[in-house]
Amino acid sequence: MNSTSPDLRIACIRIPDFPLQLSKRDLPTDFRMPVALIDRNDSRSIIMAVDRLAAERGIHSGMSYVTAIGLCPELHAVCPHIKKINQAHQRLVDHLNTFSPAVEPVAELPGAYYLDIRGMHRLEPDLQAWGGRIQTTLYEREQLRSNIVFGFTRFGVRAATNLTDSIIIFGSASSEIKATMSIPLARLNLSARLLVNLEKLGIRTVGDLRKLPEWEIRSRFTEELFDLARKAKSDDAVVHGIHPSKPYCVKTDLEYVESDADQIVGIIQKICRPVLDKMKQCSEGVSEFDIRLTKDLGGASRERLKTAEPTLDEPTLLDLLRLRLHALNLDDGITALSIHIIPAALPSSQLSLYQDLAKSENDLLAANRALARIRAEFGPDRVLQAHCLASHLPEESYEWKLFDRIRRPSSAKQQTACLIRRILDRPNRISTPSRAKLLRVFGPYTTNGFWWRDSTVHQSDYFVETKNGSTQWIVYDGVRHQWYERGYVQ
Amino acid sequence: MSGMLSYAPLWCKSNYSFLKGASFPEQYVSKAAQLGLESIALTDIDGIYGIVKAHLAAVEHDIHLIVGSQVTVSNPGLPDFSLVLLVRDRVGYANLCNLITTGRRRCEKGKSAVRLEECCDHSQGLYAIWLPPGISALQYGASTDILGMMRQAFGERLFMMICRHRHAPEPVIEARTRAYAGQYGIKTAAAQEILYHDRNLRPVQDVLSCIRQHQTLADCQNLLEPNACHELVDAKRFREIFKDDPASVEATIEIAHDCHFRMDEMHYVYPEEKDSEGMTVSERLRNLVRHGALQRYSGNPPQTVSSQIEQELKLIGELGYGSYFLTMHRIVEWCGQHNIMCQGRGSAANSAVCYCLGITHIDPVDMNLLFERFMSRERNEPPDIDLDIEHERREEVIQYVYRTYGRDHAAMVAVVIRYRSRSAIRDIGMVLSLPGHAMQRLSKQVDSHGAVTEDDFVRAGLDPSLRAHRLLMTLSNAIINFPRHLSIHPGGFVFATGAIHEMVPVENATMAERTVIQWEKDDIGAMKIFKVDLLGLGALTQLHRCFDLIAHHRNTIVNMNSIPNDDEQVFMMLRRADTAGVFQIESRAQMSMLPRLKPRQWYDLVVQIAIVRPGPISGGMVHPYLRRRSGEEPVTYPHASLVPVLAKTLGIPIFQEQVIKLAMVAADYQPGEADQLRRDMAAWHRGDRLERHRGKLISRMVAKGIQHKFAEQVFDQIRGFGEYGFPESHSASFALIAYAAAYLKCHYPTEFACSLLNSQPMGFYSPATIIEDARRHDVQILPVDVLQSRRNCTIERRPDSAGGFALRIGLRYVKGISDKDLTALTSVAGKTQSIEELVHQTGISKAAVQKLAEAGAFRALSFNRRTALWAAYGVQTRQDLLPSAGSTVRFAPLNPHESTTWDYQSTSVSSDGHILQHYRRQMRAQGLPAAAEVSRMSDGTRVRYVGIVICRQRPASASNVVFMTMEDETGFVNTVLWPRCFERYSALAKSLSLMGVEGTLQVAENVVHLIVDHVWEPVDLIMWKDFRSRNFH
Repeated sequence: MNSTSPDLRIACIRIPDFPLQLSKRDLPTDFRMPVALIDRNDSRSIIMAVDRLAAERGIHSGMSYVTAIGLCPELHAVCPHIKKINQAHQRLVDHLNTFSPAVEPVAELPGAYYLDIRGMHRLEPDLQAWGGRIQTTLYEREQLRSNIVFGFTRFGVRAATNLTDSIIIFGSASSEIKATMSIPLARLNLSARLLVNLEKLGIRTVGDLRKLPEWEIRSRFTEELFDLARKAKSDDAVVHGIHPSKPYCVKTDLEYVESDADQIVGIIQKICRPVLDKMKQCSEGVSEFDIRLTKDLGGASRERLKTAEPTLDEPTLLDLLRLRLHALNLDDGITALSIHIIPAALPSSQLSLYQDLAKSENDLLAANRALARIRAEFGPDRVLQAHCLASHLPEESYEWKLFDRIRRPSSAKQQTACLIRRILDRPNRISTPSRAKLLRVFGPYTTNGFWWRDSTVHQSDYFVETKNGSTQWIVYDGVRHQWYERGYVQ
Repeated sequence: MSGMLSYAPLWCKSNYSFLKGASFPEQYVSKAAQLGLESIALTDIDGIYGIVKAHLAAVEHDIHLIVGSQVTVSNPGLPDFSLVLLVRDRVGYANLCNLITTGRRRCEKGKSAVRLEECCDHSQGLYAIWLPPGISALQYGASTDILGMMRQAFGERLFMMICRHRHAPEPVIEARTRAYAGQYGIKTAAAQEILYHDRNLRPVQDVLSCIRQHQTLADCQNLLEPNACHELVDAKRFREIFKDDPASVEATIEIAHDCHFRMDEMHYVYPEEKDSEGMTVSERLRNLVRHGALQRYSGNPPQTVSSQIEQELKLIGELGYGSYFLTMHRIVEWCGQHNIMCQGRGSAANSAVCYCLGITHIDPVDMNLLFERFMSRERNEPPDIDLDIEHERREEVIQYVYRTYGRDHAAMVAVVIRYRSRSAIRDIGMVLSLPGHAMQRLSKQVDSHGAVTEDDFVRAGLDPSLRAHRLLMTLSNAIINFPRHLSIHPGGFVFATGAIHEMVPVENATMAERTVIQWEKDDIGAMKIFKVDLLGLGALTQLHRCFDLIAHHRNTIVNMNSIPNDDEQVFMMLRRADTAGVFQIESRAQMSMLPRLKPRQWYDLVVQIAIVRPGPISGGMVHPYLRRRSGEEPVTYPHASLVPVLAKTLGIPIFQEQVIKLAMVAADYQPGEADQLRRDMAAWHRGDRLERHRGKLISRMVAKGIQHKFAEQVFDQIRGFGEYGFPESHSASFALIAYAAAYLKCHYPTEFACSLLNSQPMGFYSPATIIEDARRHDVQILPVDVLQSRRNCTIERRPDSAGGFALRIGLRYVKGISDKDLTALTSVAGKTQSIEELVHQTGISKAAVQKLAEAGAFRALSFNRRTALWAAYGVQTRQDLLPSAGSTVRFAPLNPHESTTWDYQSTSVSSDGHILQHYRRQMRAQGLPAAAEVSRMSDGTRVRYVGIVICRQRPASASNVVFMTMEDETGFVNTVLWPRCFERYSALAKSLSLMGVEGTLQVAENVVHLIVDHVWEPVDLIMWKDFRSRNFH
């Protein structure tokens, strides 16, 4: 069928074995070993999906990894990478959004999406060609193989993606029903336990399931199967499209070269106001500004500015912008501005802020706004907090982490210490200490080992009382054969 | 080295502290001797698990071993702390054992906690040393005067330890310790916490710490020791560390000198068996043996027997072992009174006293068995009697022993579970954060009893040159044989006159109502402590059940005594190798040997059981023996003096006793040397200890006129036995049971199969194979049925079945039914009209109803299985409020093939017949013969065969040759896959249940093997995979 029926309402596109395809994409192109996707990275893992080579060696999903390597010692195992799956999912939605205004991920089936194709026949008279273009796009941009079904119901098109790897276009609702009748239930993402129970009764296909009374299914099996049986008999074609929160972008070319920070803030305020109004309607707030400044003498600079929390409060936003721009050297002059506003859902309290309701001055929010101002003035990575770490090595017993926000304090144990060790950010190399200059020496306290790392450690720490009354903390590095001042005792 | 310049390490933890110390106790002792130290203490955590090994090493190196332990003290309201307790004298040793027992018995397995008051109560004969980490307990527990209490209890034997490991917090702790010591007038003692004898073992100690805390190295940094200052150092170094405090160093020597207790001061005395009639132990034993002899020999024991008994009683009396025999007699007698079958095995069968006491059932005089193998004056070792008991009733006997002797006087022996290559890879891999699936792959490649090699990595597809993999290999090999945790011996009991927990600490086992001592079998032997092994044997359970079934259904009494030992029908069956299910002679290797050995009398079975063992096989004794037996080769002896030794096995050594005798006669080994040879043979897996006998044996044999070539051959045979050889007495004990089982299989096949099924798990074959074998012996198999079946398989009168009885499969074979549901079902058997009624009557779970439906157990209620299953899915249990509405849905019945498949899936057995019978017609059309036809084909025939794989074996003695036993409805086909063939088809050969093979038939002496050169999956025939084989055991 080459022409599009005006009755067609919905399509389903599916990336078969989506996590496995993603994982295989990272392997070298000349990789020729059987590959299996396992559910977790330990010895009790279960095979979730296999490629053709693995299937030929008798490996199948549901098999334990131990059994699988017994059959095929060269089997290469890969684990699903959740972050990569999410990233790929997001990109897929973006790609599909260029083909259809409404894209809906199929629940519980990663890598499958419904597309709303109502009215598409006017734009795309040849659905076969259109589907081919979608497949080509996904393959060229993501190296993912896909199949597509055009039909009349959500259940029908989703089920039919199991029939073949190619493109299917149903000519009528009855042909969709007929085609789905023979689809094995095993391909509909039902739980393994449920499938086993159905198989025992000889219920293997959608057609078999349709013959059973729905109420008897409900009293014997899960709600999941009842729902499936109901939808197999009648389903709708509504696509609940998702719209990703994309950054808002505004830009302007200045008519003159501007080097005054306050003027630039004013320009930004002017060009952003319509966007902020739009965001208010969507209950969104500004979580970040990504500002690109084009310089008169060529080149550009980029500044990122995060708010304490999503906000539409103009004075706050302007204050942050002012602080950041005043910290920049704008002597070269700016000729163009491009601003990406990263949105985020606005807390309900933020709406009230926007409406100029009363604000508490001395609260956590105020503290966090103050930190945001510091970041705005000195840079985004300038607010840090020390965190204690468990290590015998003093230099590894703490780390600096970006300080995100102040939280309400919890009651902590009061600790008293008569002597406080202060550690230098970076140890100072010193010459071999002279005993004559020291009143007392405590140590050595030895830390060595770490044999599992690339370089071993051998440090001997001393606390030395000098004749001027101070107590120094020095260390001899037995690997570098060098003395260092590590800190002092207060 | 003079005492003034020395010191005594008082705080050493070995790897018997379980994942803490990184050296064996023997290594500490040996290193201490090497460093010139006079004394060393072993202070493992809450135990003295390694003390016997340390003691033996101390004797060897002539060094003073101080017995001690680091004991965990836990008092409510106080932080836990530890004390090092060192034994001063015998009383102190008893107190230490008592204290550890108290702490261990109070806690779950693996933990211990004693109270401070208990420490004080058991202070006599002990030194207590307060450890630095315990300072926090003094600070936070200021309300309790801990040190005051201890000072009062231990007096001058309380010390506070000063430790210097170059840890940063130590100076503060030391200052506080000294302050407390000054306040209470307690002396200080210097010590290092010794965790390894050599600092090169520091990485090993690090990984052990990680394993103990279930952490990776990356996550465990501050939980590891910060440096390597935990090795055993010499006196000079130690004194240098404590140069500002010589008094604390001198204190260690003072303590060491005062701790004069030695482990060999312990004089173990076996508890005397009391007699109400006032007879001495010897009198009572003599009395019992006399009565037993009269019974055994029908009132007239031969002179040879009497003189043998006299000789044995004299030796037993001299060595003071009488009570031990009385104990064994008491246990056997109790078993008899409670209708529990039991039988002594092993070297006890060499004793006429044991025979007359009813402990064993082999007449050692008649069989000319060597009594010295059991007991000898020269060896002066306690006798070791192993008693086989019906496995399902062994716990009753164990609890009887506890009741009779009390938990204070009887406890079970421990087994220390040690690291093997696979477990080492698993744990070290976790510590190094290596991927679990890669470790699994590697562990599949390694030899479980050997070291991890680079080749293993290559075979697993891992790069052995990677640093992480090199570390994995080195560390895994380093911890092989390290103790991992304590387990319980299968049946070893020790008894003591006094409280057993004053001899060795006792702790809880994982199993309820079991207590276990902290020493294992070798420690018991070294301390000359008597051990009784109460072992479970499934074959005895089966025999007992079979005797009961025969008595119940046929009103015929059959027992071990009534079975004739010369039944020709039984020997004919044995010669046909028709022995599936027969104890000891049912394995494929045994079945292959039977047609060649052609047993004609009971003693042939003794040889048969002993000859199919790695020892005789690798010693090259099998074929010469068979040739001589069949007359193909003359029976010759290398030397006339060996005729008496080897005559009954046609000049070929087959039994372990013969090898010992051979060394004594041919190489003039003295009893002590012969005993050493026996020990070295038994310890073959701990290195090639037998090599040290080579020169001595060969040179002495040559000197005696035996050809050098034969002498070499004899030594090779001895070495072969080292790998695993059977003593004749042991083989004879087993042959008794094997013959009885064969007799029952031959004459009572229904009862035999029924009892075997009811005694599962046991034996070599799956229930499905047992049922198929019974069917081939014309036993009618009846399906599981809620109205007819009981919990176990039962026998029903059916004239058309073999012997007039058929076998009904029991409800226990329906998978997934709980014990509670089984009991409920049994109580209403035969009294129900519908599934709903059954559920209402019994209250069984919905899952159980479904399992019964799948098994076809509702067939009597007129349901086909699918419809019954649909009903079961919808059934309302007692918990449901409303009854279910009837369903109108009907399903198609199963076809015969499906029916058999469902049987296997739901019960592992089928009453319908073998799965392959449904496909015989198709297989015939494809030219595929049945097993019975294959067995009649001639040598060299090309055969294509399809069958179910019921067993896969790759014995170590067979150079990677794989043996597979395949089965169809007509019998077995034994297949052989040479390594090249197995490698080529490994994926199929390892995984297929239903397999097609092609190869050439090898037929010799009625033994048929199919030498496979091609393996295939008969996908076009059937798609059926749910059959479990017994793989590579």
